[in-house]
Amino acid sequence: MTVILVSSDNQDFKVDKEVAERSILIKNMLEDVGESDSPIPLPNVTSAVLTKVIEYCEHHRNDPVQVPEETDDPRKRSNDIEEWDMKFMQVDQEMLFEIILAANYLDIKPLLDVGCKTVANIIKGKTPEEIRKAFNIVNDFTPEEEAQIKKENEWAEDR
Amino acid sequence: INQLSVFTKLPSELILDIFSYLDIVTIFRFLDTCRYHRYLLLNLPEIWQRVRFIPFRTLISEIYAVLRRFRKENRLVDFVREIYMDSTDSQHFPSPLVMLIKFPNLHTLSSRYRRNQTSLTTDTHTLKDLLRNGDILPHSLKLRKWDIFHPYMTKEDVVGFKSILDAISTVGGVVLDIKMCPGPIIYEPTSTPPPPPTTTTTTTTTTITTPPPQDPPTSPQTTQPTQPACTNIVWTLEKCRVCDASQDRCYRCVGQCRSCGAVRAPPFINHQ
Repeated sequence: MTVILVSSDNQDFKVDKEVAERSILIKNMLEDVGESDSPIPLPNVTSAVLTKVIEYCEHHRNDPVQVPEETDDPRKRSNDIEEWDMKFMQVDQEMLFEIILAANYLDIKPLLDVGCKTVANIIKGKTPEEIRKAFNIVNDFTPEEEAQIKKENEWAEDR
Repeated sequence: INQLSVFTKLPSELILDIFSYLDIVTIFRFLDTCRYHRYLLLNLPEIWQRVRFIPFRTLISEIYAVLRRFRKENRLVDFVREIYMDSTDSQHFPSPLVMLIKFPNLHTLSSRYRRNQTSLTTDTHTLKDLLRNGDILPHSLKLRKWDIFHPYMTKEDVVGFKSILDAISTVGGVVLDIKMCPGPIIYEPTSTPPPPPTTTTTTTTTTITTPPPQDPPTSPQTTQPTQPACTNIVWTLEKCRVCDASQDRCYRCVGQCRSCGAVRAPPFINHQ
């Protein structure tokens, strides 16, 4: 069985129900409306982003449903990303953040996790200057603020 | 406000999700990138509730700088509830006691796998001194849980350590992830000890180990009260490496898993 998803720019996507149901939002909608051929509008997701999201759901269609972790122990939070997912996330930053937002809206937890881990991995191990470069951030601190930051990060300080 | 930051697009729950994967030094580095990022993170107390230090790729100088930046004036010091500093086994790294004193609302402290820097006896003496000198007041700290295990722990004064923690904690019952082994299981004459696992060698030289029958549920109570505890340290989360069954005694007192019969290895083997 297939379902039709409609992106915010009115493009139709015909996908297997099993694939579409990786999204908890869509799964719940389908359960609510029952058997219906009506297209499902996704006003928060553009066709470019929906294409990527469907690609992810197609690849992970047979994955077991993610059980919420019993604990939120940060020691068990790993930044590791599977190889396919890592390649999948090699997109420009705008698309990366759009995918995260779409995963959040569509309630696709594994995709959301991969997106957040990808952003965390971009930040990890970088100096402030390298983070600015990575995210195209303008340093808007005044010279006084810069001096204060430098002072705060100094090694030996008499206080 | 720097409108260029892509982080402006994300709701705070997603910001929290992203930063939950990062250690505290990295979070402060992000804070130092622009005004908007500073505003963004300083307005999310949840980010500062959990502080995670990583043992690698961080200069000790940065660790101390980061600790100095938690101050009363910026309220950050009061936000901290949990600190994770596992594997930071360097003599230069701040002691967990520093965290305990610095963060008044700390309720969970994790300093596992710090073999060379962990001494419950030393920590007990230091805490007693602090209490005696009035540097810590009785029942003034909010500590509830301290994970301190490392797999090379053998004998430590858990009782003395726990009693001083209980004396300084407001809750009075700090939970540790270690305990003293209660000693070998002694079966009373009326109960039959479980048979050892039977090993059968087949013609194809495959060794099959048959687990012993499950212990009767009363077996933990069969330890005679007069039996002295062996006092070896047991990690409260220790599990059989074969069947995942919890192990409540040290491998010397109970050499085989009572659930599957597998031979138990010393903790430093299990934790490699």
